Amino acid sequence: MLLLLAFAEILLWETHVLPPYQISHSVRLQLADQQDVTRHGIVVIRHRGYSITNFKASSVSPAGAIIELPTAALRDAEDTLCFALPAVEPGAHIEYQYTESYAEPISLPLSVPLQRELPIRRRVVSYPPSWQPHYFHCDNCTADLPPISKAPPAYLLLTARATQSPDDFWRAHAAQLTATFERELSPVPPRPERDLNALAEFCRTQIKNSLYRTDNLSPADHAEPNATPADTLRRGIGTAHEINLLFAALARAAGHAVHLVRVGTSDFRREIVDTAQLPNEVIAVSFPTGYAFFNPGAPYLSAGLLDADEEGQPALLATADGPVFLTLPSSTPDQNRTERKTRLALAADGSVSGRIEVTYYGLAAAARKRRAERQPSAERLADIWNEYPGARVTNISLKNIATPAAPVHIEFDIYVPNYADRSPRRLFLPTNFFGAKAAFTLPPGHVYESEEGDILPIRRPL
Amino acid sequence: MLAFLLLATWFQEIAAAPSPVGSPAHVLLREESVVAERSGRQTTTTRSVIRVLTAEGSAFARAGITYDATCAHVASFRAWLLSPSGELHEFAPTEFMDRVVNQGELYSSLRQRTISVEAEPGSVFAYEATVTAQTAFTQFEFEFQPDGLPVARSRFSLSSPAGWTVTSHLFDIHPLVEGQTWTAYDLPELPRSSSRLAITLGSTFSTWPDVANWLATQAESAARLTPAIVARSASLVQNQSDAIRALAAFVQRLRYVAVNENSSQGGGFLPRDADSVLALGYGDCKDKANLLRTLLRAQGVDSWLVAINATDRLRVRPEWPSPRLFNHAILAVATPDGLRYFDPSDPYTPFGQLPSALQNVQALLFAPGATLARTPVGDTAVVVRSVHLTVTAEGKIAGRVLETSHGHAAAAYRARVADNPEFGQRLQVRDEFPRDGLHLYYEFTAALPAAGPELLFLKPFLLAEFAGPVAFHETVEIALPLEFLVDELPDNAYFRGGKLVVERRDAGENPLLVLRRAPHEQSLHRRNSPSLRQ
Repeated sequence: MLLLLAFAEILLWETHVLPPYQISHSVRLQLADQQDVTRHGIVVIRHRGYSITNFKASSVSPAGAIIELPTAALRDAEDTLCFALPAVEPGAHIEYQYTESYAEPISLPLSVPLQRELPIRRRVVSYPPSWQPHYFHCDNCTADLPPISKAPPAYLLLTARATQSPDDFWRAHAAQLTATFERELSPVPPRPERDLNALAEFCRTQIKNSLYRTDNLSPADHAEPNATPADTLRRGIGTAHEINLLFAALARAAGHAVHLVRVGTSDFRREIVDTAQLPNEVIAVSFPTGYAFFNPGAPYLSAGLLDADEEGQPALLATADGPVFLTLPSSTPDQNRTERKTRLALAADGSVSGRIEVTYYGLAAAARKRRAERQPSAERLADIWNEYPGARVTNISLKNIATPAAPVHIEFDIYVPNYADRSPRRLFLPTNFFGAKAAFTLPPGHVYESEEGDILPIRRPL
Repeated sequence: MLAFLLLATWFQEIAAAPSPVGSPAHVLLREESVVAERSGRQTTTTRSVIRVLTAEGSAFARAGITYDATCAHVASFRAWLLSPSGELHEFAPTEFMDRVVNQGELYSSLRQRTISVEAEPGSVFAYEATVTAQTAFTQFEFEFQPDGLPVARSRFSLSSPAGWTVTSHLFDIHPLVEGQTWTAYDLPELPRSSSRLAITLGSTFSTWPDVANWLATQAESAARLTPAIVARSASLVQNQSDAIRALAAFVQRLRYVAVNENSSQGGGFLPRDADSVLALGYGDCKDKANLLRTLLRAQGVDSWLVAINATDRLRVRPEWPSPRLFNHAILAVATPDGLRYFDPSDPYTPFGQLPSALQNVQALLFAPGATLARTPVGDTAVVVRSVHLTVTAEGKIAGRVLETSHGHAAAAYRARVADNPEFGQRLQVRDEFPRDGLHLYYEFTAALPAAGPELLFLKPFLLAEFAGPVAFHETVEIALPLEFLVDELPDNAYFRGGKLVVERRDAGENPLLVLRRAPHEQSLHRRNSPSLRQ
């Protein structure tokens, strides 16, 4: 038996880029069932940075009747335009058109999304012929596009047509980066530390980073840029770039050859002559066997690590001899591990109590610190409570949450009622305690009947 | 500068008061004063001073005011933090957030301006806000202890035009009353404090019939019989044995879309014209109730809109007549069997039943002269379930479940299938909606958790949680592997009204565990065995 399942889908989505100030959209949507009516009968258009003009919408019933959306039904609140299509029922079509109107001319490169929350049967994008299209993350980018999922969404990048070859472009860019780097890299006295990791950690931990709202920094602390790495060293504060420059200067003072590296994303393409593809920066130190990479301008990383959006990514290393394209190394799972120590006791009533210590290293620690810097202390505690649903978590100690480079250490007491199931003669103890194996001390007179399996039977005393 | 110094002095004097131990924070001052003018303009000034006592108490170092952007203006909103070391900091306007308040509406004119700060223990957070509004309503409420924290001083004061009557009601508190100022001192910590002051200015809402008359007036013009209404009503009831049920089901299927506008001028109680709602195909609770009322009127059936509070059963206090106590609208329909209450905004509960949350709740008909009356208590929901499980010696379990539910239990399953298509795809569902009754059938396989090499640990009972009492008729049969003996069974008390027996069969047949649960007094409970896991 063939089972046909119908779902809502976008029959056609047209986008017309009309420089200098407008981009128009036209969407036609088909609804299959009542759930689609509920979910997609209301349309929300967020418009940040532009206004919505030339708006029209209507619904087409299965019988073909067209009902226009009355203007009074439109609601525009700040940066959100929303409306409920009239008389929508299963099998109906919804159509709406609008224009994005910009106050400033549309600039390149321009990213045009190709996917949405629904499958798209046909996608049309038009743009001036002088522009160059580059498609990302789609095999067929004009038809039968699946809905947005966990995979990177498909998009079209529009750029100006290149006037020079990519090789010439990147060669010139590397030369410019090198020249700027050399100009900024004025000498500093060498430090006692000769080891590069020690120099990087000195820059990361002893120079305040003005771009991060750590607990001990206020926006007024770094009102003016540092002209030289020596200024950064003297003032003890700098931007991420200034801190990286200081590290480069100290490494050079220690006798190493240093280079600036611009880091891209997995969407980087050499044939797209746009330097905006390389938004991040690290410092490379060259050795006979290759390069070592450092980013002390990121305060929450541990020694030897690159940031999560840098490791494994394509990069351009600028040298006097031209660009070197490479892929940055990735860290190991051990460098980003989470260690947990538990001291837990099972009670005769099946409850568990004890103390847990969790230590986060590397990128795991950095992620927690980044999240915490935007949170008041009560919210940081609430985050920990929420990681142990059903348990009572108290006496929380949270260390190094705002300390550059140090592992994050969390300790707390925990109590979980009814953790083990009870029968008249046994307790049944799940060994997976909130995502990790744990050991438990038993109440007096209780013995394990078996120590194998996901649930351990424990004989209760007679 | 002088004004700042004066404010700082006031604030710091209050901040010197001692605090009790044991609470996360201590409210040193909570104060609201309202100046009401004949023109309808109201100016509300709110002040608060709170000392943070523990790390958890930092969550209370926050302030927020809600206002209707179409008719209210935040004249001023200032906040300060006094550190334990005595350093005073005033927050800049850029540190406040102002955003739309949206509780699921398509659009709302309500906005909220807030500030939330990080305050270490020993800090004192203070704020002062003034809002002016042009509003049609002259009723006020003041909570003396909204967060349940201990309070040193909580005060409400009112300034009203000469000659206006002031009627006040106090709930669960006896403050000091001096003219039109009510002050409570040294309130201890009380997690769910209900201490409240309610005030009515003038005589608009002196009695519940006053409120009902006003609501009825608001709604009447929206229920006109137009040719489109009459034609649609006739087409919906054609060939239907139960006209009311057919019209009710139609309105239930209409989309729920709420637009919150002009709430300060009574817009929250005025349904949209039934003809417009029919053309648009959507509306909020009062729009849908009014549309059904109008469609029924076309068939000669009388009905009335009903104001009710869908989220707080204790919100409506008979002593204080006020429309602001209600947040939902349903319908009461005159049938040959009497008045039937029905919620057309609930897509899952058929006509003839009320959702559990709306049963036995104070409600008010939009009818001249009506008074508060409790909605009826519905029949207990029923679930009849038959479960067959087969357990293998390898610890695998295969099962099939057949279940029939009625009442709010059936409505709960409908909601679950609608909200979770994946859940619905795993089941075979036969729904008798718009009549009562829903049937489920599903099969599943699973692996039992290993409890050592020689023990199988089985918890075969299905978790089902419902919002109201449910009578379960349940039979669970579990065929056990021959290689295993039943070593332990829980007490029958574990099954809350059920009885577990082991039926022995002839040699060579798998032994059978049978659990039967039949409804009796103990089995009628609000939550069904929450400790059971599948």
